Amino acid sequence: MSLKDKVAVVGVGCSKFMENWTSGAEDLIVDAVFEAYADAGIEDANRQIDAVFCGSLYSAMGPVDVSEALKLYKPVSAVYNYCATGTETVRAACLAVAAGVYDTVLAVGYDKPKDRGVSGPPVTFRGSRDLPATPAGWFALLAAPYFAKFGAGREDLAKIAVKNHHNGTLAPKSFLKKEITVDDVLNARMISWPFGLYDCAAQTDGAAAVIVTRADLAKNFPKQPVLVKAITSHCSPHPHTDPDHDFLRWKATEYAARDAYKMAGIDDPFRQIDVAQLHDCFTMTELVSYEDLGFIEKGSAKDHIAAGTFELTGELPVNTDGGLKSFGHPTGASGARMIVENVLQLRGEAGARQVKDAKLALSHNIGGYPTGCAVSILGVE
Amino acid sequence: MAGIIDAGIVDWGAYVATRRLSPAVLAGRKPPESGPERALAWADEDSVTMAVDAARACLKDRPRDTIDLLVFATTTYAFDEKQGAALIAVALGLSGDVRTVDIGHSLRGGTEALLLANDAVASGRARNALVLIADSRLGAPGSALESSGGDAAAAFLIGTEGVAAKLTADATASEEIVDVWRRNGDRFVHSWEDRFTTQYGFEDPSAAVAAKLPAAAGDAERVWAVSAPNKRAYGSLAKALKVRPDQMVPGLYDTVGYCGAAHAPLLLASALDTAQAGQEIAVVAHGDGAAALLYTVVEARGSSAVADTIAERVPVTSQAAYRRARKLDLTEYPVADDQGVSATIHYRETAEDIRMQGQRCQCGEPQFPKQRVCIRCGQKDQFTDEDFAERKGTLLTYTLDAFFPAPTPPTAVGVVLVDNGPRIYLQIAGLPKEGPTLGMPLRFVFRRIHESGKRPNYFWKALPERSSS
Repeated sequence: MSLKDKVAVVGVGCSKFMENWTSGAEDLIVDAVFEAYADAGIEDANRQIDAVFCGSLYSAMGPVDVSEALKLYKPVSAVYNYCATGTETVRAACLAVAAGVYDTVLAVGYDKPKDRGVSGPPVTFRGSRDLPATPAGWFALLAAPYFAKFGAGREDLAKIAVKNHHNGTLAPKSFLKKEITVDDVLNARMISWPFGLYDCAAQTDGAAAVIVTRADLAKNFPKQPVLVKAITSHCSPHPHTDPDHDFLRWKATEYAARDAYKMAGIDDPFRQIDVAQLHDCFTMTELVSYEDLGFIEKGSAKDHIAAGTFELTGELPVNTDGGLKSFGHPTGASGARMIVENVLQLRGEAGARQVKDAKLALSHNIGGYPTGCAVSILGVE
Repeated sequence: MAGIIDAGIVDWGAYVATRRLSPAVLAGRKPPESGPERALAWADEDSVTMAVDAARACLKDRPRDTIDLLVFATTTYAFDEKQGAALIAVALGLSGDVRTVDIGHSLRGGTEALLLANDAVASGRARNALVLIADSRLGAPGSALESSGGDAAAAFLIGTEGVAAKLTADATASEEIVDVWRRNGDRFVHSWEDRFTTQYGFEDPSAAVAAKLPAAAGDAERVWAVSAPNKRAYGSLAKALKVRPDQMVPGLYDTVGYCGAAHAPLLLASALDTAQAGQEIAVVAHGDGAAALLYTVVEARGSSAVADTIAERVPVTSQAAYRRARKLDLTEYPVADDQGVSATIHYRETAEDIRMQGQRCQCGEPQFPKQRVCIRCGQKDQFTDEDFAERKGTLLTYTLDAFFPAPTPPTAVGVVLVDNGPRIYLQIAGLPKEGPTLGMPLRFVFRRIHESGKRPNYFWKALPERSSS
């Protein structure tokens, strides 16, 4: 069974990502969803939308948040898979349409971490073991073995942060519009070695919305339809206890990518994919994702970073809107925001950061310890 | 000593807190090259963890399944209601049938614990007894007690076979006196005027019980291990007892400090390390009276338990780090109250958290924490429990986390491959200045991990293996 070409994206919207002290989660949901309505030409949502899926890491009240914000009294269900929540929310919408249960479905990812009263992610005390428990610490565990095996270092990570900060300056709704240098990254205060402050994504508030419909109905909507070629998800064993883990990769990405390429019929991702949004929660996560997604050989990221392969002007531009790093990371929204960016790129609506003649676009979320990954591939004919 | 069976000390161990604090650092100056210092339990240590350290040094490879009684003496256990010995028994992998006893409230608890254990073994009620005495002395900021206290633990295995020193006499005197105290809820030790407490709380009762001991047998050399509250009192008691200075076991006031209930026991361990057969060791501890124990050394062991743990030393380099480690800084807004780790989860995970127990599948795959389904063969419930705390391990990967609340961030954390065991994610402590290195050999120590719910939460950390040199 495959989803390929059964579902089309017909409307996208995104709030500004920022530390939004003066508006709540519901404001952000309204901003993103009404932009998506306008994009899809939807004027009577209660008639034209059949169901809603929503995704948030921090809210346990998704269906209420969304239905109350939109006054949209439809089937509303919450989806959750750590930092892969955004992509998973769109995936649930696609599955519902492909199953023939609904014609047109709204997916909205959002989070409002700045109402929590703490800066950065929490140090969680769930048990007596497994501490410290911060995302930086979990994702940093690849670094020492990877550096030792392949000779990469903090400078290579720094170049990823510099690239994503540059791309962020070109995206109107991004949070950090500031060019930085490799030295800025290397001299920033340490968070969890080898991650300094600039190696970490900027946690912000934000919401992103994606409207999908049956591929054969897409012609009824005003914009050029963007087809879902694949949307997959995979879990891997906990890296802390997996007896076979080599700490040179995140297995969940490899599994999810394998399934996505099979579904989309892709055999040479580096050549076939024109633009990609990768989960750069930390610079190292983007680095290994180049390899785990099969774009390049394991261990060769350092050379490709030096060559500029993944820069906006390179062979395969990655994180064209600045990524989690500088566009911002409202956890539940990020995967949906990536799909918004890929749709804009495929329609040629990405402005100053437009990748020329983009026909096939990939997006990738990974979360947990990390243990869960979701991948989407969108395309235009 | 009229025992039914001759009982005594079979083996001993000691743990002196590795961190050392000099009065200069307490005064806000740089640490001097040398000079007096006190042992300081760090943020991840307390009387329980120090007792576990001392116990492991004492037990080494000895069988633990013949220990029928565990006695834990301290004045500084984290709970007023809830036993410490029961927790320690799990950490040490003792049988669930072991009798566990806490002795609290008095600086004299150490000698009482030794006596109680000896009685139990001598009467045949217990095959072996393990006695652990630990204390962590915290004086109010700026007080003399702040710099003269010390944090340490001593452990003694009491039995009837392979005895190194048998108990030959004892004497006790009880006395009601308000000399040194902590009320319920007090953090700091308080005391009455020094000259009063030294004479009536320490010197008089100590001399009185010492006088009750029989005279030295024949020409036996007798040395004295005495729990004087400070260096000066130590010297004055020697005079009162009319013993030569070289008969006094060195008091460790400039290296460890006065470590409360653990002090006389620590000096006893130190004396045992270098004792000759036939020698007598008199142990005198004060506190609400005093007690004296007389041991006759049966077998010289020529060990260095106390000297070794004193030699393992990390100086505290700033007053700020000390204040953070012992939570001496006031904060206007304490952390939001919470229930902490669920008591039901804590109960279910006791073996995993407190004795680092995992399991091995019948297919051979070791796992930690315990699972229902094997990650290797996929079978359900085919596991045998296995303890990993006494194994060694190597470092597979790590990070240095600056976010985790700690007195001196960053906190090293990594995945450790246990020898012939699973991978375990835990904190790495005691790293050299150069930091961690992949593949470095590690051992495990029992520590306080965090204080969620305002209770101590215990688990294990990995420490670099001691170099063999």
